[in-house]
Amino acid sequence: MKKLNIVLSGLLVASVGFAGENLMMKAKNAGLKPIPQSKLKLLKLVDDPTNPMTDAKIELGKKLYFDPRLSKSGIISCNTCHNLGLGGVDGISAAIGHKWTANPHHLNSPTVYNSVLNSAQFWDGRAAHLEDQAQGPMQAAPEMASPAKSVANKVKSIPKYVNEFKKAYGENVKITFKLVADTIGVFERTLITPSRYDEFLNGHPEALTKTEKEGLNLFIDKGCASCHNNIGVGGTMQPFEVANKYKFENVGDFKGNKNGMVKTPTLRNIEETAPYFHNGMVWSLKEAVKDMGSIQLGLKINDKEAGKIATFLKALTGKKPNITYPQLPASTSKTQKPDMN
Amino acid sequence: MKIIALILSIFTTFIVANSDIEILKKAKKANLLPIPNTKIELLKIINNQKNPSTDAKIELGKKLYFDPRVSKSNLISCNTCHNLALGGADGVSVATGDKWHPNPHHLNSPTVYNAVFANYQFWDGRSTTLEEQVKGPIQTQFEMAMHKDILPSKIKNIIGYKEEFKRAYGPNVKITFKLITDTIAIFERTLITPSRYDDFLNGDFKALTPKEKDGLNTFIDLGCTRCHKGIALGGFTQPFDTGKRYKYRNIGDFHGNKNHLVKTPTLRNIKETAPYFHNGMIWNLKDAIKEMGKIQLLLGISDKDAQKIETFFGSLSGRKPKIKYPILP
Ligand code: HEC
Ligand code: HEC
Ligand code: HEC
Ligand code: HEC
Repeated sequence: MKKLNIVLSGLLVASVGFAGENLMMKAKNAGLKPIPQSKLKLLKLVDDPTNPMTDAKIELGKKLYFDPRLSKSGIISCNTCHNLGLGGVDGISAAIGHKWTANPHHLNSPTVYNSVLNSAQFWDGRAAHLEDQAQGPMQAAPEMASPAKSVANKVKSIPKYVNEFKKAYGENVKITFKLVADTIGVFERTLITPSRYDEFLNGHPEALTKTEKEGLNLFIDKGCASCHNNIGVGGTMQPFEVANKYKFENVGDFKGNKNGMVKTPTLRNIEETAPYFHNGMVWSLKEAVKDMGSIQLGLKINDKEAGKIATFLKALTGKKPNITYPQLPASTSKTQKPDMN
Repeated sequence: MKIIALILSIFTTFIVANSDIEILKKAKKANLLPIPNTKIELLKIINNQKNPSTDAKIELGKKLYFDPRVSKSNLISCNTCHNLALGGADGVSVATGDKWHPNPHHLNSPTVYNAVFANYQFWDGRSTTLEEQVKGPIQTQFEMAMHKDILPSKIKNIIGYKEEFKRAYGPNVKITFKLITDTIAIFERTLITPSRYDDFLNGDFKALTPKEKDGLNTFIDLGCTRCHKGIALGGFTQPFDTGKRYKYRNIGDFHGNKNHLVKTPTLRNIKETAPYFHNGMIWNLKDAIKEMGKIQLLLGISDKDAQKIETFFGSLSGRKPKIKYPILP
């Protein structure tokens, strides 16, 4: 009896192993790629040669990312809506910012984790780089509501910040709004989260469970990977409502860019970033998977399949970088006062 | 030449040491106490006998402290108003919470750093322990607006939290509102910030600059230590605005507890926690010092003395505990 068990389980392992390798090839052929294991390759991927990463810039960028004083009110930071403790999002449907104003298009906050892997930023893809992107929310009235000039002036009024800019960019640095945004961008470039899924694609079939592998297989077979692909498992502009209408399409007025294209969200850490879709109207991951089948592929995905795909998607939850909560340099009498209005 | 210099320096060292001992004696007499520099003495003060600190409880308390889901909106955490990166305060005059509601009494957020050393919590001192205090903000409409019966089920529905409560309190733990708040308080008990001032009081005479020592001297001589004393440099309730009037007394309707007593704020990290006073109306530290002299001591404090005290206050900026930003379940 025992012997039979061992033989059987040996067989099972062998067959899974075999399926694992096949699946790996299949995934690669479907355009799914892992976060590189080699530090150098990774750095080539995430670094911006026009403003190369250094420890000093990353540390400064982190401070700015967490600093609510960059907002008009003094109480909203990037981390308010893109909480690094909560998968890089806020967990609410429509983002809420300055004066408790909801996003006027009922847009949901996308995650900042792995956003460096996107080829376009924002739901309509209107920024190509994180650096351009970061200028948006600081100024947007329903987000941080801070005019560009006042952001730069606030930073300049704090001598310790000035010193850190000097340390990062040299003695003659000119602290501009753009440089503040660029520095936040440098920090964001470090926010990548390798997962068991990457281990699997990097040649470790045992990194995924049987159900996860079945889910991955379905994910490819159903055609999800035709849009959710590459390292980001998303990140490119794609048509939306290809086959059917999205059931909440009338919540908010967002209809994509001028060609109706929408930025495909990354599916990394998707388990942590509910609610889903541009207007954050769907809370269950299984439901989102089924909706995608119908909206984008004209497919009815049954409950069991959706369950498996969702199980696979949870294997995309990655290891977050270790972040020491910063100590921010104190304001001075020259620092512009917060304004709640 | 060299020899003279040497003699001179020995001489001055001697003099400095002598006056250092004087200041130290004076400080002790004025009831200024350092944060203990031994772990055991410190733990005796900050530990809650009824719910002793463990690493598991502290780590869980930290997560809850940073978790905006403890609020009704999912957007406001303790750290929103008591930002551990900003001296434990929010840097705005009036605390602003759920739905952008300002505190209806125009109250400013006090720091949570070193709050464990205070005998009273809240501006009117209505709580005496952190455990009691923390029940307030979670439920208050203009802060986190969370119902006390809903919070436990919200937390229990997050599987990771359930596991962590078991790890901290054993497999049969019942996650109640009280246990959640007690656990946040355990984390708060770790938020202490020893500074150069403590090093000085603990006998390291070089820890303060001559100017800071001078400022400390003035601080004691003018009588500030009548109220700003103990480890917290505050934390007791004291009369305020009873003789001479606080110039912004009419901003908001706060006038202390029923006996017009107000909790004396800690002065630790004071350089990081502007704006000052219960209604956050004074931004400049020197102005706050002068205003204190006027209201509490009926003294006109000169610019020079105010400057000296401000310089001394710089030595109260403490070493903050290193906090790894938590990944929330
Ligand atoms: C009030 C909430 C809020 C704040 C504050 C905020 N964001 Fe956003 N963020 C959003 C929303 C909503 C979107 C989507 C907006 C759109 O597509 O028009 C977004 C989009 C992004 C994106 C694009 C991600 C993607 O996948 O398309 C990045 C990156 C980003 N924000 C970074 C930041 C940074 C950096 C800051 C601080 C300077 C910041 N955000 C502040 C809500 C916020
Ligand atoms: C034709 C391209 C395309 C295909 C095929 C596709 N998606 Fe999507 N997916 C998108 C776009 C675009 C969005 C964003 C839509 C929006 O919110 O407006 C999206 C959103 C999602 C979301 C929500 C992400 C979030 O953060 O809000 C999930 C989950 C998802 N897709 C899973 C799937 C699955 C599973 C499949 C296969 C059954 C699939 N997608 C097929 C393009 C595609
Ligand atoms: C909306 C802003 C806001 C939020 C959120 C908030 N607080 Fe407070 N906190 C205040 C204000 C304002 C006071 C003073 C209120 C009073 O005296 O009536 C205060 C007082 C305190 C005090 C007393 C300190 C002292 O020196 O008297 C402590 C401790 C404290 N809060 C901890 C917390 C904890 C823990 C949380 C999270 C559960 C929290 N606070 C959430 C604004 C806030
Ligand atoms: C009689 C007691 C008493 C004396 C003496 C006293 N203070 Fe105060 N101090 C208080 C009280 C009570 C408050 C809070 C008042 C309020 O905001 O309503 C306070 C507030 C302060 C604040 C603002 C703290 C904050 O976080 O908002 C500073 C700074 C300060 N005192 C410094 C001094 C200095 C310097 C002296 C000596 C010149 C002094 N105090 C003397 C009781 C006293």
